Amino acid sequence: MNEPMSHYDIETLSAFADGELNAVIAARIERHLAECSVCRDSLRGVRELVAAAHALPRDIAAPAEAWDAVRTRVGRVARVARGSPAASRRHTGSWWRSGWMAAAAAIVLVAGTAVLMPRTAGKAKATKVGRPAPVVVSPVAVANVDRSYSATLSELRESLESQRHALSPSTVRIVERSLATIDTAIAEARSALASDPANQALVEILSAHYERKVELLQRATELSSSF
Amino acid sequence: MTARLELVPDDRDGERALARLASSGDEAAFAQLYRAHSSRVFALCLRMSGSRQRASELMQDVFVHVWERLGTWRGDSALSSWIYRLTVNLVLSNGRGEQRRQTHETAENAMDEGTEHRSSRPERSEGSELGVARPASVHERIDLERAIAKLPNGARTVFVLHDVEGYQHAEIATMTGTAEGTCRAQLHRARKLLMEALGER
Repeated sequence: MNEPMSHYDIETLSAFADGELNAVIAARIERHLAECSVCRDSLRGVRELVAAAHALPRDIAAPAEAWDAVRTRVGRVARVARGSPAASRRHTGSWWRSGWMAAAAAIVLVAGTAVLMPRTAGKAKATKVGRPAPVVVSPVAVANVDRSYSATLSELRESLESQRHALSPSTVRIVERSLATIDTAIAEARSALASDPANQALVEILSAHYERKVELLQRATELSSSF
Repeated sequence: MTARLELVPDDRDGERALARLASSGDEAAFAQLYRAHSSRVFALCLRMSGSRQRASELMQDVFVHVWERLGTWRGDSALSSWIYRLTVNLVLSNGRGEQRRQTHETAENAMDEGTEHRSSRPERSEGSELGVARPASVHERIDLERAIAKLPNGARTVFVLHDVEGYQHAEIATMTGTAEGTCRAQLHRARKLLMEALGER
């Protein structure tokens, strides 16, 4: 038997192997294969390739350091997502919740309300309407919260300082001005709390100011990181 | 808090419980999910991206997404399927518009750096009827991995998803946003290029 002079290309034989060709063409190829050892070899090659691909291991061990990177990034995302009350509720008891997250939780416990909601004194007062039984505020707890925020804010401050070169001078000015405004508000709230340490509304106001500061520093840091 | 749950294949209740724990911020539970799925996710990222470094970055993205969206998994499908589909979608979305990246390191590094290949057989089986089940040697496997890594993006994506992962053309077309016919053409082109690279023709 004489071997044919022309051969089917691999793509066509691959489609044939997958059963994609119509009956007429498939029959023609089958007739050709009966006479052509070259195309039979090619078809066998296609089938062996598919079998080999299918037999490849599904698992390849990830780099050992990848878990630490994932862990770090999840922690960072958690902080950004913290602004979302839903996210905060969903991710309670998290390992990444250190520093200011713990502080925020402490304030929630102390003040008996969500600290992320009030952004201004007026709003903070408004949220008090219709609230359940008042909670007695412990001055010691407030002081602890104050310290916890301080550490976190210092950390964020350092982070921003190390990256401030990436921000334009005008942006830096705006950030600094905003921080100064918030610092003034924090000072006023703390001063008021010193006179009236059991005032729940003041705790809320203070916590709201701290939150704004954390948020501002975070956004500024993220902004500088994105350049 | 330490998760004491053991992840057993096809244990949907166990998966739900573990996912619930991880979703609520339990590190041990999340670590357990990572341990259970990272090697498969990494393999997918590695083969689809063609780069070990890129695969590591993509895998991190995947698990951050898993953590963010774990609460949306309802348990209708296996958690593994949900994670792997998320992986494919994320790799594809990252790959769109991106120039082809360096590929030479892929399988070469995966093997040469002592990367461990583990349990291999999938739940999907389509496609296996095509070939004669011939056990490939380690060298043949390495050659194949290298050749896959060097394929053009489109051809590599379809080949990995169809011939390695066992997805159907219709699924791949949906995931990649291309026509089914285009997927088929890419697959046949990929096989041709691989056979040429492996010296089959």
